[in-house]
Amino acid sequence: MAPRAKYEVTGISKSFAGETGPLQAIADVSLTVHEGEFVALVGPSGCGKSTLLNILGGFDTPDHGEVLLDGAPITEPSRRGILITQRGSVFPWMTVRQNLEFATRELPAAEIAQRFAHYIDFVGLRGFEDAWPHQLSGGMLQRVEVARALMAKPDVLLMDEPFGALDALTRMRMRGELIEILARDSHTCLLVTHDVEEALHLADRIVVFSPRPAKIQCILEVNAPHPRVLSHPGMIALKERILQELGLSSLDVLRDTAAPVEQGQGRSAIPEDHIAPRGLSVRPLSPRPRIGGEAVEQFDVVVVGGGPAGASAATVLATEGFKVLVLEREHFPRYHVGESLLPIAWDLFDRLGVTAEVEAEGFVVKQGISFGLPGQADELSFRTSEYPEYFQRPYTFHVERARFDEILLHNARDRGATVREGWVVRDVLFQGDTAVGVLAGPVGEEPHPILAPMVVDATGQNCLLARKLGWRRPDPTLNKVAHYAHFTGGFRPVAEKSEGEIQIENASATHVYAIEGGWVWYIPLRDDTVSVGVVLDAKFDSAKRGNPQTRFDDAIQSCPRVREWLTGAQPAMEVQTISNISYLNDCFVGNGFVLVGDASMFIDPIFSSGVSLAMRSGIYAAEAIIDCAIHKDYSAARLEHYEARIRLPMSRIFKMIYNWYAILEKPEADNIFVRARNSPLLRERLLVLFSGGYDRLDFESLLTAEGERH
Amino acid sequence: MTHLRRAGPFLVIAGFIALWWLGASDSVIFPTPGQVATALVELVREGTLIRHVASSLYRVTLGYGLALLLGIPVGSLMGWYPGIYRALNPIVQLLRPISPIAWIPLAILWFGVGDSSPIFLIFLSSFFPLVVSTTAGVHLVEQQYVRAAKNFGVTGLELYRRVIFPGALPSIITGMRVGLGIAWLVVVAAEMVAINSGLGYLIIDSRNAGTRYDLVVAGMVIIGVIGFILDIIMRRLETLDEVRWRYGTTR
Repeated sequence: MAPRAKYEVTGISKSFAGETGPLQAIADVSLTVHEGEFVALVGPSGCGKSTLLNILGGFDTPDHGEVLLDGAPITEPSRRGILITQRGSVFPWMTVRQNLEFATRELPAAEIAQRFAHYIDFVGLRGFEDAWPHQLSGGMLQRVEVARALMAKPDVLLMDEPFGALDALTRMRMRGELIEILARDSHTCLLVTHDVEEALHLADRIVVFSPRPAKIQCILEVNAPHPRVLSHPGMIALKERILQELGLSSLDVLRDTAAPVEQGQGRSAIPEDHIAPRGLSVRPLSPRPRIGGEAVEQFDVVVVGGGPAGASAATVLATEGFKVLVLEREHFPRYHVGESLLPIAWDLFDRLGVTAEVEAEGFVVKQGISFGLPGQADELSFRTSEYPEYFQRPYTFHVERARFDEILLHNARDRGATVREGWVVRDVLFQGDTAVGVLAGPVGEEPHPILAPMVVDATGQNCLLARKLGWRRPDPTLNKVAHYAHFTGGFRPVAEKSEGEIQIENASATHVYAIEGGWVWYIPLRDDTVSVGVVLDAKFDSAKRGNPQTRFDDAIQSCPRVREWLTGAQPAMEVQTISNISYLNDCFVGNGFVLVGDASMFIDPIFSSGVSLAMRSGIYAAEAIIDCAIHKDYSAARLEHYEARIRLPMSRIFKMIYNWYAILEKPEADNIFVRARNSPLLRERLLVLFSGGYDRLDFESLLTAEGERH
Repeated sequence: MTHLRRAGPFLVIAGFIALWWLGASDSVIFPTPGQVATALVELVREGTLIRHVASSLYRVTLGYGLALLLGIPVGSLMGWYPGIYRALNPIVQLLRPISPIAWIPLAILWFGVGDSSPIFLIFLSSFFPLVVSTTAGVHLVEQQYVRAAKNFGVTGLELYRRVIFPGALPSIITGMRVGLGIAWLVVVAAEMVAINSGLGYLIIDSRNAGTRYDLVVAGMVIIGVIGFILDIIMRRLETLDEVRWRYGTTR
């Protein structure tokens, strides 16, 4: 007998108003969910899965198409389908008992008491009936959430990343508990998750969605009894299949089928036939063996530039067994500006396997930002420790880039990348419109060709490829100049502390003060050193007289606080200048090459996002290259996924920067920083953005949030 | 350490009184703490103190009660309906910065010199903080709670009673505390004009009727003590389980 259809979704589409016209979230999705079935929806984040779940719950309506629940259209939220999200909606002003009884309010008292007694035992919260939510752990709260949903005896449970906010261990335990609950009390379930293992663990069917707009890419059945063992070969194969559909597969599958692979500097993980150069009619020089008769060098990937973006890309690729060559013009350690990191970097350190080393280095701890704004008597302090749950750790570091970049590059070398310092890349070699290698050699020596199917441009502000291809695009609205230097003996402000937060001894903050024509940064580093810089509007700066030193001094004189802090301090280096802030290049990918870090864009330093974004772009680019290797296709079309992924956080940081200069330049501008002082909700969200969580929140939505509630 | 911490505030007060005593002992007009204490005892014996305190508290109770009765519903409506917010917010923001003291002439014109004038002024002084904090509180109720309530079929007045109001309560209580503080400030000022009872009257009357500065200072001390007690009571509200989630759990 065929199972009865619970949900029938036919051809639904949904668009939202976007920045540049309507943004389609869901495109023509049809799906039938049977009674008692557990269906997981997986897909890239932001692909529209949650929107689909909201539509199924009656919280949102589709533009086109139809959703039937038991044959009747859904018009509004009801107790037939209860939605559980990761933000949690257990009412904090009610006890556990009152929360559960909320779900059954108009039933007879006897029935309520009977259900309550049943479900409080069901989720193992006997003894906590009269506890308040703030006394419970995250896992217990999520069980209250589930029990409350079950109290209503819904037809369907709609779960949107229900365990996303919990730590990994609790998440595993909650999964097990959910399976037990469903075994005893069968429900139709829909689960949105980005965790493929979670889907494999729980679901009868897994629906894989494409990136936005969400379309069903494939539907896979999981025919394994509970409890499931994820290390079972069948499950591993299924997982790889899903990851591949998502364009995220590790090379495990390939390794199993391809020729035997040696680790590290050995042979390539990419099948031999693919890395063979595509003919050698390379311009501008014919390939000439440099040392008598030796063959032309070949790698899987050549990374030009060993800064954070290049080192990150090289690390990820080398770890996956790629044969990677990093060419760096300088000898590390070398000075570089951009010393302030963001808490999001912990995720990136983990990905690169460099967390312990960075931690052991003893960099100055940074716990937030402090803004001195025009018209505000006091500094506005934003401490990342105020909302410690968003990131692995609620702090980050101020780093000397000489040492930090060295750690990252050495890590790439340790993971198996070949790193050559003091090497200059003269040109990228093209065949038609496809990059096939580079022309490079040690400083002062004749360059020779090195071939690779993939070239990563991490040349920083030199923008090797963007200049060559005419892709460099300065942002005329953000035309700024920065003058900066290091000092010793400057005052060392300690981050402001308050009760009840995580506290770290001697924590510092990045201090920002608005001045005429721009702003000043003041960043305490190790060994009594501070980094001080001014960012000025280019027009304002060019109207001033004198050399960079006097322009820098004049700007510092106009900022009373920093002037005071630098009284008696000694300059530790000459004032340096960067004048090409900001640019955002037209394209980040082409056939056989990608642009990462500052080679793709250079953004205003105000929110300290540069290094974290550069590392992220290196990692994303590496993941896209891994995908290319699997499909044996290094075309721009295949690499575009990288560009889309990195442009999202970038466009959001640009929005924040525009807003920052609006606040500096127009006194009547909507000052979100000041508003955040009195709105905990706004403050919480701003802090997520200040910490680098650009893919978790959209700045635009913050600016408009308060106007369009309800 | 704990002993010192507990005794600290008392030591500071004792030091303050000692300095006062030293400073005032040469003065003819300015009373010493001893004279003030004697005056206090005299006021209690005569029964005038209890009468003045009762009058002041009576006016505050009525004015502040009226502000609660009107301010919370108005703030709730402004917080929930953007249309009402847009309509009322300009007038609220316009009237809010005007000191209640500035209303005294109009209050006397409209309500005469009886109890109604100070009650009206107290109402005005605490009404606006309540409206503003209630509005903000309702704004701050997070969307996921409203969605959950709708999911369980809770709408309309019940949604307000069980979700919106309790969600906004922490902010409302803050407004209540601020409002009561201002109300107590204002009652004394209002009683200094054309009234014949209350702590404000006691002060102004003691000065006018024979420069009894011991009574003036005694009145000030009583005002301070009662204000302090009122604030302690309001702070107790913030420790209720129903609202502790918003203030954090570390206290």
